[in-house]
Amino acid sequence: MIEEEKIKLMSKLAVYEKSYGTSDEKINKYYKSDYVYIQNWWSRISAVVGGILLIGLMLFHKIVAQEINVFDIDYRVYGTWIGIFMVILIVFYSLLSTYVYGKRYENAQGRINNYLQMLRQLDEYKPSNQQEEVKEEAYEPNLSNSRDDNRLL
Amino acid sequence: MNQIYQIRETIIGFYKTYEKVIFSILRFILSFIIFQFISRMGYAVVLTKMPVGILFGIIGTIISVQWFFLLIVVVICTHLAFVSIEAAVLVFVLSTIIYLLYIRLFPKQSLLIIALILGFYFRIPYVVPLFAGLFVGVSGIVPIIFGTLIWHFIPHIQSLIEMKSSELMEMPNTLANMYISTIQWLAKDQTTIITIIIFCVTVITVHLIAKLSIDYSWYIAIGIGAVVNLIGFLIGLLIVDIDINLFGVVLSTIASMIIMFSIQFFHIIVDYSRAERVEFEDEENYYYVKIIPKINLEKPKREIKRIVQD
Repeated sequence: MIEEEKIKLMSKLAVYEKSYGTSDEKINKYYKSDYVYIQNWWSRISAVVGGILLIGLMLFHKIVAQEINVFDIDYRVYGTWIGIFMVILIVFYSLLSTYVYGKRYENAQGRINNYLQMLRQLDEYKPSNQQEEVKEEAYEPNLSNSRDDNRLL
Repeated sequence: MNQIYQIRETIIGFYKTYEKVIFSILRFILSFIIFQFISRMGYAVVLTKMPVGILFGIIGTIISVQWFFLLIVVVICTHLAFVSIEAAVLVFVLSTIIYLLYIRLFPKQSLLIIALILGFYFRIPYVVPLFAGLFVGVSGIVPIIFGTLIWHFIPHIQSLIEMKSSELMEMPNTLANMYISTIQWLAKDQTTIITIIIFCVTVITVHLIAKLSIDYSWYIAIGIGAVVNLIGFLIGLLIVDIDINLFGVVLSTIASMIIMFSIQFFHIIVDYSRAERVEFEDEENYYYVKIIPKINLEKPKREIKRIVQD
């Protein structure tokens, strides 16, 4: 006997798995703080590389366009300015990245919560001896942990 | 009016049913156009061949947005490397900075860069600031600035290539000259600067008006955005001597406005799920399901005529 409601639920679950399953699973492997922490490091690395290229262009401009002698440059002053610039860049990208990846994590969590809700509904259609298996879904252990400390690390 | 709604419902229904196919075809066409546009540089002859263009089109359909941008950078730099290593290095460094500081973090919004370049190519660039103001918000200003800079930088590449060095030892000097030339272009090209300012003002205006809680605010926002764009270029033409054809701007703005009205009219489809084919199984059966989402739009009221027999 085919149950229409059950098929609807299974179809919705299948569509979710097909569209977001893999990407959400990757995100959900981490706590929110860990996910943001890892992504922040990649953002900082990108910002540092981009910043070095920008500074390189600026120095190139000083040396070539303004024809300043390499030996006449006051490296202490330039070093300080470059340091300040890099710190500002890194702080800015840390904040930006925290916001962007935090939001991505929350979106993924929202979708996974819906998915789990549908799984529970589907569970009601299953015979009682199989219900325990559904509860041990891979997503469930992580979802109960909403640790969100050291967000900016 | 009812007929228009009926047509809209039919079109949306058709689109939702075949969205995956339509979307893939559109992506292929756009990637193909972009790589054909790049191949017009013509320096690396092997990259200008039609099969290579088709191959890039197919690759562009499959890969993610971030990889797509990297592919574009690689193809452009390869073209340039055939004629001038220094120009290729300069373009590579500038593109890498844009990629690392923006595209990597905001891949989807970065599509506006490509959209704007294509807009300039098809002579309807004003549709992009209107679109950004309506659907992206103020953050859409950043890709619009990059897009405008890149488009106006393209003709400048030719003058960079003309500076190319004949000997290996001259390369650092040539690179320096190219760099200085680029900085000078950036500082002096008023058309680019004015265009960026006008686009930014348009995006902000459209965004603010679209957020107002009045009837048809989105359509009003498009209209006023188009007027702001037009007035901006008119002022730019009168005060600063920018290199723009006003008649072209008027026609293009009207076309952009019409396109945006159409997009706004159909935009409901963006938020909905699309047709899917899924396979799954339970203890008893295998299921092969095709899901077509229902689209609940305003349906035209039907007039019922009662014919009573005398």
